[in-house]
Amino acid sequence: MTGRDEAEFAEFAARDGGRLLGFALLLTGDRQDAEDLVQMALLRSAGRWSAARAQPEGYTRAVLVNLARDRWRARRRRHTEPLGDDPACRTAAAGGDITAAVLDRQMLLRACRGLPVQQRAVLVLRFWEDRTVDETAAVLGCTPGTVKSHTHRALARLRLTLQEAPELRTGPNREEAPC
Amino acid sequence: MLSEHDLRTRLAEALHDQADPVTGDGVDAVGIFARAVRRRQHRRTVVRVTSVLAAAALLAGAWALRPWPARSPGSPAPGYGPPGLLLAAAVVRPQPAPAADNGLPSYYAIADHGRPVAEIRRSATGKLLSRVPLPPGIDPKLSQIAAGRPGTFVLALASFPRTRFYLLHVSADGRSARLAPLSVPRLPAGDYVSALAVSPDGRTLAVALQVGSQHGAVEVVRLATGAVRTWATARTGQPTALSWAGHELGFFWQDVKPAATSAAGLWTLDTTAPGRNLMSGRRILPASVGGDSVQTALLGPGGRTAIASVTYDGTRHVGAGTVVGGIVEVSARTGHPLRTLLAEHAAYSADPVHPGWYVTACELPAIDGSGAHLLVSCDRFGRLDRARFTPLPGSSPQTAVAAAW
Repeated sequence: MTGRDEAEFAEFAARDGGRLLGFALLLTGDRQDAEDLVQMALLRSAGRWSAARAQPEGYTRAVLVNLARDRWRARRRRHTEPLGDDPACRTAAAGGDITAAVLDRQMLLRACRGLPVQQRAVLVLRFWEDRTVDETAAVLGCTPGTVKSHTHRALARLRLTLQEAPELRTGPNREEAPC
Repeated sequence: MLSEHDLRTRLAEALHDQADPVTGDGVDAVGIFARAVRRRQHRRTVVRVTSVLAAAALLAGAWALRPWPARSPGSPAPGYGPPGLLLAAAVVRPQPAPAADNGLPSYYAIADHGRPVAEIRRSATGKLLSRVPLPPGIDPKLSQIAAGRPGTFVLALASFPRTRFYLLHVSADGRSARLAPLSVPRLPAGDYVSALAVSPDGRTLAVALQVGSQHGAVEVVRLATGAVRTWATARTGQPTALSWAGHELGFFWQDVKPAATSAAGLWTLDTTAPGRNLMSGRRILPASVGGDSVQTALLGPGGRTAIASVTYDGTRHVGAGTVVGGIVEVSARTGHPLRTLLAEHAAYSADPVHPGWYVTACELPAIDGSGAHLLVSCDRFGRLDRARFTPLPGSSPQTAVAAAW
């Protein structure tokens, strides 16, 4: 490890930190958890900088997915998967002027959080980062076929979630949405 | 009914809506790199005196204190008794070199974590016999190595995110070596090998796995067929060292975070018994014993004793020359210390940020088939033959290393 390595790492963290934090936020649904995950992922990437330096963002993303998966498993065991506490929902419950589009988005995001982490990661990479199937596969260290099947299953599950709660998407009483 | 296109569009909007405003303000990268580097180096256990007065008094004599092995490893601690329970065992006086070296393996293989090469070196002198470049793209810090049948070593080499296994064939005189892929199932992407050990009959490879950041497992692979059997546990933690005694496998379990009921320590696993629970065997030695911390441990080949790297983890009774770390032989039946094969003494660091007494925890890369010869890495890399330490080249101080014989 040299001073040059450290400078490279600092540059990477400054350049891509925000993007990684956004990625982690979409994986976890919780800002605090996301910050914790990014810190841990950066620590691991720094510890293996000789391997990570070629593609530090991809490496760190893969670490993030693994960390998120472990955390998700642990929460499942404890049966404490949070439902989220979205400011938008609080506003809605208070009778604010939340639009149907915002509620749709909140519901979609919440449905995303119910997906397995690997599927969630695929959706985030495909639809937030606009990555191709091949690029997503490279980031996650799996095959393009796996990415396709994860995408298909995740979208099917999101669609099912939306269909099971039609009143949230199209009904007149959106303000009563159980946040 | 939403169309596929609508669903994708709405999902993309939702994701952008939530994550696009996020900036890097919540990422504090300052100091992360230095922390990561420190984690990669040997763990250094700081042992501090609680009294400033005591520290000042001891500092006065600290100039004369040279880190081991400048002091004879076998010499007893002057003035202060060992503070912990494991380190209380008598320090063995090393045997003369000819007797200590009896039965020494003729060469050892080393995969330095700083360079992508594997080297064969003569055990007696450390002379380089042959060098084999590792495949392109591998991360040398993640290399693991274990001795197999005579003239062979098994290597686990990682190229993110995959780890693959190789067989290193070495000629009888050690002067030629050849690396070839080993025909065993490859690991899932993202799983890393933290230790390897080949069974005494050379037919079975044990692999300690790091699965994600918080979990671990042990796989046993039949080398002839590639058949894999896996033991896992719901506990958070990881196996970090492996050793065989007949069909019993010893593994050192390390917690990844503090736990109320820690399972850390040296465990045995009967690989012929049914079941897949990694913790179904017996814990020979807990990781914390009366103020001493067991950093890692190996089961002796006969299964009657274990070899443990120990550091004193307390803050009292420490002074110049106190034995605060070392390599201890313990009973596998009772866990009681039998003898201290190598004693490490407190060394003072006047670091302005963290002044205090330090000891470097030893790593135990390998034990030979007789149990009399160890490859160890403390402040220096070397061999420990019946309590006699001989420094060897092949690894720089403070650099983790994988080695086997």
